[in-house]
Amino acid sequence: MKLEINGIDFHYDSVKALEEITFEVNEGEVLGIIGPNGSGKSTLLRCINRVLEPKIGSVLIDGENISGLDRREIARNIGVVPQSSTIHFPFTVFDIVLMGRTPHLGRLDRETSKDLEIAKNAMTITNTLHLTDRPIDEVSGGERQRVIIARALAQEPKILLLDEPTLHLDINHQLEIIELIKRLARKNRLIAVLVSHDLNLANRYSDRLILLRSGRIFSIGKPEDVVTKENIREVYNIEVDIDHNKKTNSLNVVPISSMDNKL
Amino acid sequence: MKESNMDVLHSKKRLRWSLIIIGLAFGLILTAIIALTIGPVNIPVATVFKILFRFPQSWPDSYNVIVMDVRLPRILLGGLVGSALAVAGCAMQGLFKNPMASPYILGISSGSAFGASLAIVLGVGMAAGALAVPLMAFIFAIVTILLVYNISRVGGRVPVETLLLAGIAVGAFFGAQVSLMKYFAGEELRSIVFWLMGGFWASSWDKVAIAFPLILLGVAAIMFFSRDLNIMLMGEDHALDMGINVESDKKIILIFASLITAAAVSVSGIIGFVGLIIPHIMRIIVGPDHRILLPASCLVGALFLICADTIARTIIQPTELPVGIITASFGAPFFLYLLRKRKRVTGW
Repeated sequence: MKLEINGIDFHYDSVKALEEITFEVNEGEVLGIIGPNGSGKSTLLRCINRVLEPKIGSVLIDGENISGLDRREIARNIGVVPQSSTIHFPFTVFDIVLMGRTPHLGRLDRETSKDLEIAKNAMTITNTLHLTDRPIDEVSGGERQRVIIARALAQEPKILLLDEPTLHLDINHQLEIIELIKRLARKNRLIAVLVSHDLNLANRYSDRLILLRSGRIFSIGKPEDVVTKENIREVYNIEVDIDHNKKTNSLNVVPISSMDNKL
Repeated sequence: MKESNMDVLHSKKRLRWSLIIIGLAFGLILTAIIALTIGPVNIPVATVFKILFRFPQSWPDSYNVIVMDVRLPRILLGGLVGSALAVAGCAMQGLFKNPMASPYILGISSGSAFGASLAIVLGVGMAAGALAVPLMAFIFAIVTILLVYNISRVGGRVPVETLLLAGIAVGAFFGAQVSLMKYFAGEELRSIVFWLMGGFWASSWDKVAIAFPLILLGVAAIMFFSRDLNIMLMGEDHALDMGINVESDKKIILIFASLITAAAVSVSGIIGFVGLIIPHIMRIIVGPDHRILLPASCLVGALFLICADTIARTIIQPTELPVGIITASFGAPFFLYLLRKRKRVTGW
């Protein structure tokens, strides 16, 4: 299974947001997308499941262009985990996860025991089973984010798109969420495309990274090839120290000074 | 939570929903029957049943007229309007994710008030028969919603924030025209004011026949989108991610919510409160899931308005009060009681 992005251009009215974006991701892989604010990370994610319609270019899942698919069909292939979302309505956790079955259900269909089973599995994987009948507006931020991942999994997608899924979480819950994502990619053979502002988490858990600058791919490849002093200086305009942490076997990025801070 | 528990939990929820619907439907029928017996002439329940099911007559002729031609159409119309307003309010609140949303939020009430006032002032009523006022009210309600919708459209999308603001502006415009007509109405002022306050004193089988198919169609269509409304509460972007066609759903729900509101307003004038508060009350009682919230609001909206109208037509006999005074006077304290008891409006 493979996700291919072929030459995507996207404009917000007259402002160019993405240009000539081309890459592919294979099943079992975690692809991290990093870049400064406004570099097009979230826009790219939204183009992949066609919530935004690219001007040029195509998105292929296993060679099939998804521009021919309707929203329900896309939702059966691609699940999305948004930035930590607050839900103000007291649906139970189980109700929320079951909503993930919507793209598989007809309007008047009731959930069958198969749907309940799939929702239950999604909750087991995300360790949210004990929350089943709790109202979603009463669970903690980390729990809620796991519930949202369970909802995306209940869609039985091949691809998970995650837009800063660890935003506003403490470091313990950040690790928990990101390890869960890694596990899902490995064990369930999903493709995970992850937008993150956290360079350390992104390079530690991604198999490959894309570094975006002003809507273009500045660098793509293995974390150690993308997260370099030179690239970070060029794209973020900051001096960083990068050392290798033996325990995590990953890079540790330490910001030193901002180069446009002339105050 | 064990696997079996989850199935049990789910079927328990379904059972609870069924019981709620059956209970409310039973309550509604009971209310309607009791309302049939009450009035300037109190008619025993048994006699009411005999009249409804055409038993051999053993009562004054006037009873037939009172039950079949005065009270029954009035009660049916009250129920239909109550259902329509409650369901439309529920749909609008869900669509706009705004607790202040009501069926009138897009200016439909002002638009139809303009149509009705115009008909009254121009005396169209004389020329085109008794249905001229409802007809004009309906036409202008539809004109209003088309206007608001098309003003708000940006490309293929209709952002709800723009809809809200356009609705307020268009509503204000028509509101001003209504004031203008009231100012110059002279003898007709009383008719306009009465129409604006809303009520069922001019009920007839004709009006039931007009309102019934429109409201039945619209309510059924909106219920068809219950699951989509649930998901749209999560935000439009997330709804897209979960496979909902947000823009086309929004359009369809708006069309039918406006249709039933227009139908309700054109046969009864502008009755406030029902469409705003009944959905809130039901959200507190049955929860936020539109699959139960919509049918429950539909039944309770009907029940509530029938009760309110029965009080309105009997409390200061031989004359009657506008029903809107009753709906707010009795409904608001009850709502506030619930609000205090639950410490918050569920969901907002």
